[in-house]
Amino acid sequence: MKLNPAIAVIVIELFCVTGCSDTGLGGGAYQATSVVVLPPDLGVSGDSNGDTGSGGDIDTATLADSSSPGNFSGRVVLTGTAPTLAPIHGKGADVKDAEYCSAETLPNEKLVIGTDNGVANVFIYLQRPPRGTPKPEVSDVPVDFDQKNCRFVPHCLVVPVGQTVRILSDDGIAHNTHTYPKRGVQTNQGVAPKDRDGVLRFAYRAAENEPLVVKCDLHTWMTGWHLPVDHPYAALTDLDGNFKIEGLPSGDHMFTVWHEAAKGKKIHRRLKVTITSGETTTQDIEYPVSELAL
Amino acid sequence: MLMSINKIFIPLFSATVVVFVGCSDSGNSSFVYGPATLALMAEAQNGIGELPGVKKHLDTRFGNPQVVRFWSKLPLNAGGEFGSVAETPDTSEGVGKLKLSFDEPPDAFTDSARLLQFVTGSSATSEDTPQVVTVVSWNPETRIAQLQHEIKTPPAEGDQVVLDGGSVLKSGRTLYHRHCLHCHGTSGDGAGPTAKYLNPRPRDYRHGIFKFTSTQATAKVSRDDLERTLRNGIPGTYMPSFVPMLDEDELDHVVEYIRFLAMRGEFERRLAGELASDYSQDALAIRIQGDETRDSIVELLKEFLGVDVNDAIDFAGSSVADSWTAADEEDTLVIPSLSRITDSVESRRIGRELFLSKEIGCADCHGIDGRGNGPQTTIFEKNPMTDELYNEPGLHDVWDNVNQPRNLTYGIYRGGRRPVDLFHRVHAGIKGTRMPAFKNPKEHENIWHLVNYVLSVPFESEPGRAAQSE
Repeated sequence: MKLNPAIAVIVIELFCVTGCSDTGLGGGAYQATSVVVLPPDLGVSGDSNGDTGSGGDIDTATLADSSSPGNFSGRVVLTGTAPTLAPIHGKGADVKDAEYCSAETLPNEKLVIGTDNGVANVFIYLQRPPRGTPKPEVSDVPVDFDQKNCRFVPHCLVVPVGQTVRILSDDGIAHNTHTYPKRGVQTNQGVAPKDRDGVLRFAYRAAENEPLVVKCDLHTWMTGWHLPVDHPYAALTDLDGNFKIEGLPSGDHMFTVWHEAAKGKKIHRRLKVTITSGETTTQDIEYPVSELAL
Repeated sequence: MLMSINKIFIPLFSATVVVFVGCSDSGNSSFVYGPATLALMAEAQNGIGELPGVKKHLDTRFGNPQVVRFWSKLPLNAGGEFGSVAETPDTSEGVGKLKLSFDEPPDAFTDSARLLQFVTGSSATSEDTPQVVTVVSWNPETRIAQLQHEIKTPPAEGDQVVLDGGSVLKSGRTLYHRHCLHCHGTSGDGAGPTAKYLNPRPRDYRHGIFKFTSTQATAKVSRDDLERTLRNGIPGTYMPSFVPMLDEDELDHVVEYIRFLAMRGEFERRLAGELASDYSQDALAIRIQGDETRDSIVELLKEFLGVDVNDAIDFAGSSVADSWTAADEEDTLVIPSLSRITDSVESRRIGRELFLSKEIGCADCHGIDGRGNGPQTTIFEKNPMTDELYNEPGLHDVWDNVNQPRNLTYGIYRGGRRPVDLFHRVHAGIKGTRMPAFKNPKEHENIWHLVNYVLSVPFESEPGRAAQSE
């Protein structure tokens, strides 16, 4: 009745071999081929006709009619008692590279409120342009993104895909610009002190669905936001919360209203706005204090 | 007596359990879905009714470990002879032979059993069952392939075919399963059975990011880079050298299968990413708190899965294909504009000054004496993507591991110890980590000074000493 341990081991090994063969190739019709080649233009349903549709948000105007455009303007206004954010650090604070980084008080730009509770740095844009929107011409003049006293200037930027972004620094210390796009490719590169020529230049290759964060790895509080777009229907509110988007095709549009301090970062996911040809639709956007996630 | 039986039965029993856990019920293994997919709401993962979700779209294009699917939009040398049907066969009788034309015609063969797959056309009846026939013989002069059995659904002229399709991936898969899987996992997720015992962790390929490259800062890893890693291993880690165990062809095959797994993972991340901002579980929770209902959100998702998903797949596929293609193009390589500056006391001194300078700031992470203990390593960082504080202090990479900046006093360089390897690390940074690129084209001379200094650090009697003496 005594079992030989060696037999037990053999039994186990047999289990292994039959249980999962070395390549894991089981039965089934493709035991022999086991690599299937698919055509490049594989469509959505998996058919090989490659009808990959034209896409576009169904709820937006279905055809870009630029012959009779309209405009969309308004303000983003905080409703309720606006909180005051403490600065990230005060003037002369004992922080890294204090000579530059605390040369001035460094404000917390997560929520910037102007006159009459207008909110700055709110992105208002179409995630997808209406069908038939031509790709905009991209200027060959670079957009500047500067660094002064360990703070990105401007804090927020709407930038067309393909347009060069020039990274500058006014500080006498090294910075390191690190972008975190979801659809595009990260940039992570050192910036030399007082670089006014902008050695670091790059262009976004893909439009993003939401603004992407830009950080400096050497000064971790530094935060900026870029929104690369492949159409002209995007705006950023000014210091008093004003915005204007011009040349919109008439019809219904679904705007994304994005702010870094909002819950889920979106004040509105789908703000429906009707554009009438030759007119400006003016609509203020309420931003209740209860929607803040500070 | 009882004791001795127990001693045997317990290990036998537990070993059997291990074996069954190791294989799924059918005896087949499967690719896992990544965190980007699993963070989506269930309907986005699994689809709604007839409309497929992310999982189905992924499986359609990449298959499973048993039946790998090679989506030929992707730049993989999957192996096989590609061609097309040269003449629509006469279907009045059974079709037992086919006239084919190949891009590069294979040599003649007889008495074989090679597999011919129809890639397009009515013979590739549906994506679920592409038709495969066995070719017995082939004559490159008459271009006639003799089939083992008559075929039921004859192809038409111009239908794409492949002979021995995917032979490279097949071989690569076998080798990967034998040598790589136990650390890097079946799916290339860096979570094989051995992985949890290792530090540093094995690479999770699914970001499509590899650290040690000779390509530009924003470019992907090249085939040559992956092969170099297989050849040399990664010193200071568990990654060994696979030469001479693998021959030259086998190295190529493993590289191709790793690229397949990386592209699968990256396609998945990108496709799921297209839905994440509106249809993740987090977004769902926030939207329901607002003025939307789950039903209304599912309706919108239905629209997305019906129409917009085409754009999303096109974007995900094209961006993966384009970036991996570019990685192997010549102008993607980082080539120093001047050959290495001769190592000298003066060069090391300049290099050390640069290392300590505020201009470049190497010491911020690597420390003033190069021990990898600079001030940045003690900070609690926020995850830049989620804005949440990490649990541990230190520099985090895209895989959420804490990276110790290299301790340069050891003289162990993970990406290789040739001077040009260090040049590449400085010029293009270390991808996926906080090590940035310093690629000012005017600064190649300075990069060489830095390299000369870094290579001298292990031999300093105290920081900066060797560089100043003599």
